[in-house]
Amino acid sequence: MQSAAVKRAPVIIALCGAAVCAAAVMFALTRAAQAVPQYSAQAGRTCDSCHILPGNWETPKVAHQKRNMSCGTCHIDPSGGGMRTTTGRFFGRSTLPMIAISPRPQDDWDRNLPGLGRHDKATPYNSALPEGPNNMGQAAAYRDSIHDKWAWGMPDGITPDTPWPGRHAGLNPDPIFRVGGDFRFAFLFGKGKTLAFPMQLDVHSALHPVHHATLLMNVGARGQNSGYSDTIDDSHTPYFRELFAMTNEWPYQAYAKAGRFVPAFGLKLDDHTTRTRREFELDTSLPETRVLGVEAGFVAAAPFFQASYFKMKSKFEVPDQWNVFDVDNGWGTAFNAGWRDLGWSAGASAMLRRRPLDEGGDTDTYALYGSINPWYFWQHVPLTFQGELDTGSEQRASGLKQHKLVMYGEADFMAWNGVTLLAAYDWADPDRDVIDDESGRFQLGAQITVYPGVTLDSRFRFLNVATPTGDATDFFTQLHLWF
Amino acid sequence: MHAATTRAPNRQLRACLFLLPVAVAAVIAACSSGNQTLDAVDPNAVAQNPTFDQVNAIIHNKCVMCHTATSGDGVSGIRFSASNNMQPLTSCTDIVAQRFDIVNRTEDNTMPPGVMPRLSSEEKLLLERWVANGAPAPCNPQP
Repeated sequence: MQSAAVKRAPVIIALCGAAVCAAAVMFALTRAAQAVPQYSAQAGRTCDSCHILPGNWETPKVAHQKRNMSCGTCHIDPSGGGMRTTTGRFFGRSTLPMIAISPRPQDDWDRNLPGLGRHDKATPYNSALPEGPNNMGQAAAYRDSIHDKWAWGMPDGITPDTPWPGRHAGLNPDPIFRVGGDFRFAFLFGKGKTLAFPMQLDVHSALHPVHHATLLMNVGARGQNSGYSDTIDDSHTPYFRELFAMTNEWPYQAYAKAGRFVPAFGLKLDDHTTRTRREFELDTSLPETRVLGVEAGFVAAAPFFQASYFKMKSKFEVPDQWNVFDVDNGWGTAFNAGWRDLGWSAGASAMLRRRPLDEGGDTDTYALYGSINPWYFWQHVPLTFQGELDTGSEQRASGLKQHKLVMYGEADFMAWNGVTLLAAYDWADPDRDVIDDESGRFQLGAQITVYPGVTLDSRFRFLNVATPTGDATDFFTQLHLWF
Repeated sequence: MHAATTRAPNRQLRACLFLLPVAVAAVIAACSSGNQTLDAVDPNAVAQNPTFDQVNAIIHNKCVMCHTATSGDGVSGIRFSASNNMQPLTSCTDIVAQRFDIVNRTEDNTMPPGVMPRLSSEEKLLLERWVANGAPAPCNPQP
């Protein structure tokens, strides 16, 4: 018998859906525009979130425009996550934290915690921020002003499809070699249990010797929530989380990559525990979600399309930590397409896996997702919404298919510089034919970034499952160090 | 300087038209769910005679992170532990001895606790069948 909480889930979902629709209609009728997963929304509202003040930029041709919220704007991997681009680093230094170390966007000059006032040393706080180069010709003169601790060298020449010197203050816009990292230390407090464990220990590096060629390597640990020693002793610590060669920086931000990666599908959320990721072999924290394949696409302003073909290891085995060619007989393909503008985004994904039953059987997965960014329209409403609906099937050991339905929704409110409040709900029915297997989870929390590279993410998590006795609450917090 | 390049409202309308079916599909799809047990839906979803290795794999993946022999002493780095009466599930005899409790606690979803992932329908059915078959295991030979 289903609990009342789970029975209420559809009602909650219906109300959320109605709210999203109402908001969408409202924005459509009020003003035009332009969104996003959380941070990209917060960046999309002003140009100076990702650049020093644009001044009188020449409008580039459409093929070279990057005025969108593509994952690839802030991450080397066009599918998102992991190592950051210079634009992503600039956003992390200027917009995200309480204390900015690159010039803060003008609209945020008075959005500090009450009582703190204007205090960033990097921000002049006079009538205007410094201006960067207006065109490629002027950009060359800014090469000498680059001083970057984590990126070295610069390929010869400047192309309209790469970031230009001078547009990210002193950061190297397009380095030959760069390093980065993501380290997450988690703490879980629940009834009768307290855990402290490493969730992520990733070191990224990217080699970019010439324009249009990039080699990305991300080496990390398989974090074990049983503790630090178990993580260090794990057979997959360390392992290649990503290793691919890519040709990129082409018109319309087109690219092609080959190697080990996670296929582009749906919203690549920061929270790897969401059911939209876990139910479909997309949990980015696990080595078994990595595939060997090729992916090509474009992430233009503002349409995007990505397609991949890949081979993978059996669902019941973990691929070798270093040998990226360790795959079995199955194959898969994924497609991801949509529109990402500055005030909203919408997309659809499909993924098929075909493999023998003893390797996990066939799976079909489909997703619709989108986001709306009210903050783009109203400076006094720092809100972002994003959501995803997934459905699909997978084969059980018997060969019969089980049909799934999974949903995710999140609202973020950036109350002050460096303080984002969030509410999220995800719900899953792993088998539409089976009783009492649904569960929903509501999260309420805050992400606090005091200084660039240091984020504290804390959440109360409420789980409701089909049997009332299983409902539970815990408090999860993670210290995320990144650069 | 604000980035706002004003656009035609009909583009926003298109976005709304896209989001509308998402919300509608969510509402429709979420309004119903199955009413049968996995055993009825697909009797062959799991083996009729599960082995101890299959059971042990589930226990290892879903239980042992807390139910270790060293629970409580922080041996695993900075891991604090659960209540003092935590029963380890690391050996064959541990699992066989607590098989009924394991099935009952996982069936009513009180274990794993908190927001840790619960057992899937397949995992629960496999545990049930293993216990119903007399819990065959190296440390518990079949009569």
